[in-house]
Amino acid sequence: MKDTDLDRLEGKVYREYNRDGALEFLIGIGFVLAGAFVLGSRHGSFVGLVPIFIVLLSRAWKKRITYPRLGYAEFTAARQAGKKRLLVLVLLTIAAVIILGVIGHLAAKATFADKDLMDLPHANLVLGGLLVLFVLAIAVFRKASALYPVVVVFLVLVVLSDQGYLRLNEAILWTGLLSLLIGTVKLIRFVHAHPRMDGDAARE
Amino acid sequence: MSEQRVRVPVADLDPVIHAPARLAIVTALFVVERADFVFLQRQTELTRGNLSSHLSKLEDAGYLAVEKTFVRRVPRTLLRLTSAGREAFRKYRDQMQQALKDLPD
Repeated sequence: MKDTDLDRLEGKVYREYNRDGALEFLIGIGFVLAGAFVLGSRHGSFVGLVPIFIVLLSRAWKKRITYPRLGYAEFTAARQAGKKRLLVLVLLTIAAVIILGVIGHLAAKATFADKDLMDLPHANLVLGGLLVLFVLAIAVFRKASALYPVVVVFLVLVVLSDQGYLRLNEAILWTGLLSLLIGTVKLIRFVHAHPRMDGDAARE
Repeated sequence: MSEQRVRVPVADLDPVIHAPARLAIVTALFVVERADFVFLQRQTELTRGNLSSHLSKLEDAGYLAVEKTFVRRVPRTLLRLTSAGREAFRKYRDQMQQALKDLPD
């Protein structure tokens, strides 16, 4: 057995942890929250809090759903890349907070002024494009191939919103629903494939 | 003329690791930093009692360390290979590769 085989084995085990649908489901929840409930309301700026909520929710998801079924493991490669990974995650979260905060703020202003979402030319394309890049970065970073269709659909919807066919928050909402659907399907498959271990074992 | 002794290549294999169940445990733990009991049960498909028994043998051999921690007042038992365990696995792997290579066609 070569070291590359062991690396492959580690990769295989690691990927199993990404099959729980958490990433897609939580991104979906975040986008639905952002698109449906916060953007376009008076409290648009608070949408920046959504990524923080998602990070907290993801920890609870792993604890309640993933670890009782797959067990808890700390990966060597993850440890080696731990600091880099943490830095990238923090930067991505901050970027999402800022982008969503700006969109939300502008949306709130638009609501007060009762005019179009943003007056800047191609503002939807710029801000939506940044969000598309954010999702793409997560997909690449976490090797989450199921997110690629979400990225493509989101990009198309952002372009359509820039052309005036729909509002940016609607594009975010529909993307969120798609991601939520993919996450739900993955979750159902994961739960069926990995029944929860008995109580004692799960507590070990 | 001295008699050339034929050495059976698998004779030197570490019996602690060579048992299939323990080999599965050590391989699973080799690719992670540390893991809990459920993870090992999933990876090895051993029963709870069987797994415990093999873990004790690995621990007695000094290949396995058991770390008991608390996460928000909930006890969590994590298992990891010691440096001796990692070294033993590497040695076993090399010996096994050599043994398979030396087999006649």
